[in-house]
Amino acid sequence: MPICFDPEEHEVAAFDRMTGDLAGLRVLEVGCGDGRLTWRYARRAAGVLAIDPDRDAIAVAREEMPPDLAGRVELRGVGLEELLARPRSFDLAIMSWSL
Amino acid sequence: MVHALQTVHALLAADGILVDIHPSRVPAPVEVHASGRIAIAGVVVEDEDGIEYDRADRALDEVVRLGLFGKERHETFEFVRYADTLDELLQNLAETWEGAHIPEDTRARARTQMEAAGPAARIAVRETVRIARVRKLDVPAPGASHPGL
Repeated sequence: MPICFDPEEHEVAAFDRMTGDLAGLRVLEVGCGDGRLTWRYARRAAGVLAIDPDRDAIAVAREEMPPDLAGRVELRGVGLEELLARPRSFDLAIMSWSL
Repeated sequence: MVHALQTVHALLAADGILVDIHPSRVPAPVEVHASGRIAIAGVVVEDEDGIEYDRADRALDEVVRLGLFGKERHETFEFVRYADTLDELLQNLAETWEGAHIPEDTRARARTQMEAAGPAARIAVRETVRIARVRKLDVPAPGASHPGL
């Protein structure tokens, strides 16, 4: 069996307590890696831009993205600086183990 | 780190929320799980002893001090990764946790505990993680005149 991360779902429970209702929110996730956390909340948001400068991780995320999230989650292998042309574009930002 | 948070501030809409998730300095135990029991073999050792996590805390405090964000709340939670074998766990740590290692004496104890527990035993690392919520505050741009002046 592969490595199993947080089967107790403590992370997403704490995340939910911090964020509250995600309905209608435009979300930026910084440091999404392979999308482990992204898949757990993205269905409840209006849209998610998930970025990570590690392009190998983004490639894994693209392979593993659940089909129903296509069109709702955009994955990009970039750093924060490359988003500066989009000021005031997000309602919620998540620094996902990336600060 | 402060620069990254300043960039996030620029990307957030008015009244936007930032949620930061990062590990804490609490040492992460290496555990052997079997038959509902947990045996502690030791802890994960980090090269920088959690200095980066303190820097992250200080960066958040700094952007609050600068008036970019207002603190709302924070908490900690336990994040556990499980593997069937010590070798799988070591490989995963090498791939995903820079600067972390399991000392040889802890490895030896874990092997002994897993052998004693039988084939259903699993090995785990339990991290204590901090999650914080801050809200964007709008601040005057540098050099901008105050409308009341």
